[in-house]
Amino acid sequence: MGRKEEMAKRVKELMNDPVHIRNTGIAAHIDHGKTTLSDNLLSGAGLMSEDLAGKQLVLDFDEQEQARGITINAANVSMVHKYKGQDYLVNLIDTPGHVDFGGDVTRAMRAIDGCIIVVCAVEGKMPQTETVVRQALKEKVKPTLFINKVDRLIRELQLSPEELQNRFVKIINEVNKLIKNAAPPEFKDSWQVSVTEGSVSFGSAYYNWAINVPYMKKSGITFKDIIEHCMNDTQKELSKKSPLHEILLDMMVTHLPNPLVAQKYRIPQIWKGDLESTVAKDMLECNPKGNLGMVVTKIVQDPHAGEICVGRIFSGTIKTGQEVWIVATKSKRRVQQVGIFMGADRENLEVVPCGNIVAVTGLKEAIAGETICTGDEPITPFEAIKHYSEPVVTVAVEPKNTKDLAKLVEVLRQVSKEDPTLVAKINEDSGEYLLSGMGELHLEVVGYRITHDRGIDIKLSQPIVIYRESIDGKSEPIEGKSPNKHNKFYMQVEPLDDKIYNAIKEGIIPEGRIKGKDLGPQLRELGMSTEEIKGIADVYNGNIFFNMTKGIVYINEVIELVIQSIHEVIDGGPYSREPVMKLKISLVDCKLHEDSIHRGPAQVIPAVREGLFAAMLYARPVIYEPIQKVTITTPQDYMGAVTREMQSRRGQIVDISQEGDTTTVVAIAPVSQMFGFAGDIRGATEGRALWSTEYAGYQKLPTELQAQTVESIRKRKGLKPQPPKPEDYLNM
Amino acid sequence: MLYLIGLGLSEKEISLKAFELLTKIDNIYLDTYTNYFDFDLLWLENSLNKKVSPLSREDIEKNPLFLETAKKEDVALLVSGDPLVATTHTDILLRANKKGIQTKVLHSSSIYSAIAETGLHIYRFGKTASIPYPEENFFPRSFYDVTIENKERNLHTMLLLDVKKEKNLFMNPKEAIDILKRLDENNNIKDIVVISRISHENQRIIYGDMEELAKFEKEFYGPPPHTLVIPAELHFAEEEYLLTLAEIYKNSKNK
Ligand SMILES: Nc1nc2c(ncn2[C@@H]2O[C@H](COP(=O)(O)OP(=O)(O)OP(=O)(O)O)[C@@H](O)[C@H]2O)c(=O)[nH]1
Ligand SMILES: C[S@@+](CC[C@H](N)C(=O)[O-])C[C@H]1O[C@@H](n2cnc3c(N)ncnc32)[C@H](O)[C@@H]1O
Ligand SMILES: [Mg+2]
Repeated sequence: MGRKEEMAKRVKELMNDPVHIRNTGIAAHIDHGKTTLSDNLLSGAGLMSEDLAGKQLVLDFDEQEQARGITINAANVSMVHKYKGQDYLVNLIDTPGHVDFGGDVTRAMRAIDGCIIVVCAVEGKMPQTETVVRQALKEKVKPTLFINKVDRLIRELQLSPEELQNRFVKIINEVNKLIKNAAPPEFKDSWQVSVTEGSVSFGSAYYNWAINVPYMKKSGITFKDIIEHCMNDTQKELSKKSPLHEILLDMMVTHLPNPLVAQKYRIPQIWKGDLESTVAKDMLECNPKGNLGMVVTKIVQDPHAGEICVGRIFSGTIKTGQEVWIVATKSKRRVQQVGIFMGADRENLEVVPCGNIVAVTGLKEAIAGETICTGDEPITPFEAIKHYSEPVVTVAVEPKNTKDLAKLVEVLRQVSKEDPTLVAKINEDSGEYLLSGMGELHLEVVGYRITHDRGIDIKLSQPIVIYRESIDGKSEPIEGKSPNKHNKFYMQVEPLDDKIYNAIKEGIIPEGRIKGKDLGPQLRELGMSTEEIKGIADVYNGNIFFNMTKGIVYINEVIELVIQSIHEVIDGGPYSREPVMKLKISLVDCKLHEDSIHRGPAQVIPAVREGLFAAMLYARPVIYEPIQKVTITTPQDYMGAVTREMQSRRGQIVDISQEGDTTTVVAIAPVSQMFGFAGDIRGATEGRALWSTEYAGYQKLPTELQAQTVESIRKRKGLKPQPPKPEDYLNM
Repeated sequence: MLYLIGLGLSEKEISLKAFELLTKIDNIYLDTYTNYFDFDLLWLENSLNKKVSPLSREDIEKNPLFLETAKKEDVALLVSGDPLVATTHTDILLRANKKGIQTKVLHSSSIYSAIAETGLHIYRFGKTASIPYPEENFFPRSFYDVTIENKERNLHTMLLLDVKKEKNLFMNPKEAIDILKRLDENNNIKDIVVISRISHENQRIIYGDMEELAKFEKEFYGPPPHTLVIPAELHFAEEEYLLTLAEIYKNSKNK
């Protein structure tokens, strides 16, 4: 039996022994060495040739990943590691670092219980480091820390042992501060990473060595030895004495929780059904004999097997041939194949029990985030896997050959099902197919794949940003009349308070039909009055609707229609038909017809829409644009070039810090101005600048650009260039 | 001048006064959406030798071009039944008035009076309500509450059925009874009177238990329009009339 087959056999045995399973992931800022690390772990476990590991980035098996040198898709692997004579099954997910593919990280976090946060010793804590720590903690995924690229720190910066340690302490403190801020209260202290306990390791993923305190004690290796090896070019020797995979897999096995431990506190966080129910107990206890409870965290296209759903099983056992519920569509499907990943390969098995990450085919309608279960009825779905940022960039997609149109529509539907941070839609006015995503690169990669993997030759338009509209002022209560003029709705709009808007964005105020009384204390703290708390009816895409009416008979029969109409307005406002944000809508009064037939959808929806349109147009409408935080590290000599580059893009420099010869510039810049930045900055700095971007929300467009932007948005959408006036919506 | 003219419940029920007026008017419009027409207006067009232009809800509520015409010339708007009964057309009169247009209403027979042919006494009807087709985000139940309130005050309830001209949907008693049954969890409703196509050749008045009537398929009740009455306790005269002149579908006939 080859090593690989042997491993597959051990994996199968260990799958049934949750105490010895670890579901883990690797997350970090872009280029900090996640894939190099994952590769070397695999090779250490005998699943990949030692020479290739880390050099070829085997886990970046996608052609686009290889070409661009970045990870785009989270990759799943399973391996076996022996610790103190006991075998452990380590399921590992390597995640992408580029912000545009952050949705993949968010989804991976649902599947795992613990992770390694990788931080490059040279760059230190970076914006995405912060983001991935937050993503992990939000799902109650326990972090450990690996400080990577220590070889560069030693060779390039030539730090003394003491300076080296200071550098490490700084990184560790920063990471611990992040953990303290973002961890759920019960873990703020116990999840701090610690050098002495061994939940922090240092090393070089590229040269395949690592070290931590427990291993130092065991082996007698010191920092001084390490510096010597690096300086004397004997890192290969070091990798034999202190092998990366051993130190890191030991760290995972000892510091990350097994599914039995983790599911007890993770289930209440990610599943809001009745915790007294049988499924709940089965999931809390990770009971393989219970009904199946699983979340799909990823969908992969396989040329042979078709669509593969990868996900985490929390209870029960999945078997080939079994009938399961696809909860969202309340439909039943038969499981065709079940298996696990070993590198790029999938190993088919008959059954996989809970506590594992599994690959399943046959679940046709399932989308990423889907709940899969067995039992008489579908269970309460898992909490939606919500990504922290929204699509801000759109391209129009057009097949080069019109006969491919139907196929393209299907493929667009498919890609947004695999990656819910992509949104595909048709512009009803122009008939264009629009694809929106996290950034320019995101859409470029998807476009490339549609052409190359799905064989539809397409053309992408220049990217355009998705604006938002909101208001600067407050309107009077404005009357919206139904077409039959027998119903009237009085609506008032004003901008949402910053604090409240941010609370929605941070999830403190959840979206949906919320009840003020459930959130009383939080809302009061945010400055809402008792009246408003009572009236809060719906939160939608960063806007709040308050029903402030009192004692209106039949209000219950129309309120859902009012909300439906408000949603339609929020999806496309009166000013530019872009989505609306930060709007506070109050229904202050309404007058209804006695008979329900005269206040149905055809009457209520237009009445509310027109009233709201008019109210918004009275309240000084404004355009907001998406912005990014851009972090650029550059040699001092190119500072001028970097600053010029940012300033010509309406960038606002918010921070400059210097370390040795390297300067780090942090700037805020509009996404619309950042298109093509990759090439320009490379040119301006002869390729010497490293940079990354982060989602930074929306900011009001400068006043002098408002009018022309509205006009160009409206023209692009085939609307009359001049925005309407309130009077246009007030039919007297 | 704008004339709002009732067509009555079936062919040739328009008043002679209205008919004579129409011979002098060139702009004749028809409201097509507040009721189901099984009679076409050919007879009227032929005998007047004039065209009648149909108007949709949108043409009347949103873009009332006919009102512009009425500023200069006489305009007639024909409406099924009586123009102001169970419609929101008072608004047309209001809007005309605001534009300085004079208006006149010519009444006609209506479901509101024809209902008396059930033998139920007009004096004993409580609030009227309509049963709408449930739609996305719209499943009202106030018609049921009205029925029960009326019942508690020992009053009959007239229930008009939804007309959705745009979708060519006209609610059948079968659909209405199914909706009522779903809401009537405590079996408050016992009897129903169904009035179909009153004043037409094939008119029917059916009296029965809700349970019995629910067993029939749509086809049994035939084409629209239909109205339901949920009767209160019957006065002896009402009961005698119904039992004698209606089709009866009751479990114990001599009850
Ligand atoms: N000198 C040195 N280079 C390293 C080390 N680890 C990774 N690298 C290099 O850093 C670059 C990025 O490594 P990757 O493993 O692709 O980084 P990643 O975090 O997976 O990148 P993304 O997935 O795109 O976010 C590659 O050129 C690696 O060879 C290390 O320990 N030392
Ligand atoms: C919106 S109302 C319009 C009433 C009309 N303006 C009138 O005065 O008769 C329409 C509803 O009345 C009822 N209806 C109208 N004509 C009817 C008839 N001939 N027989 C039974 N019901 C009728 C039906 O329930 C129909 O859906
Ligand atoms: Mg990678």
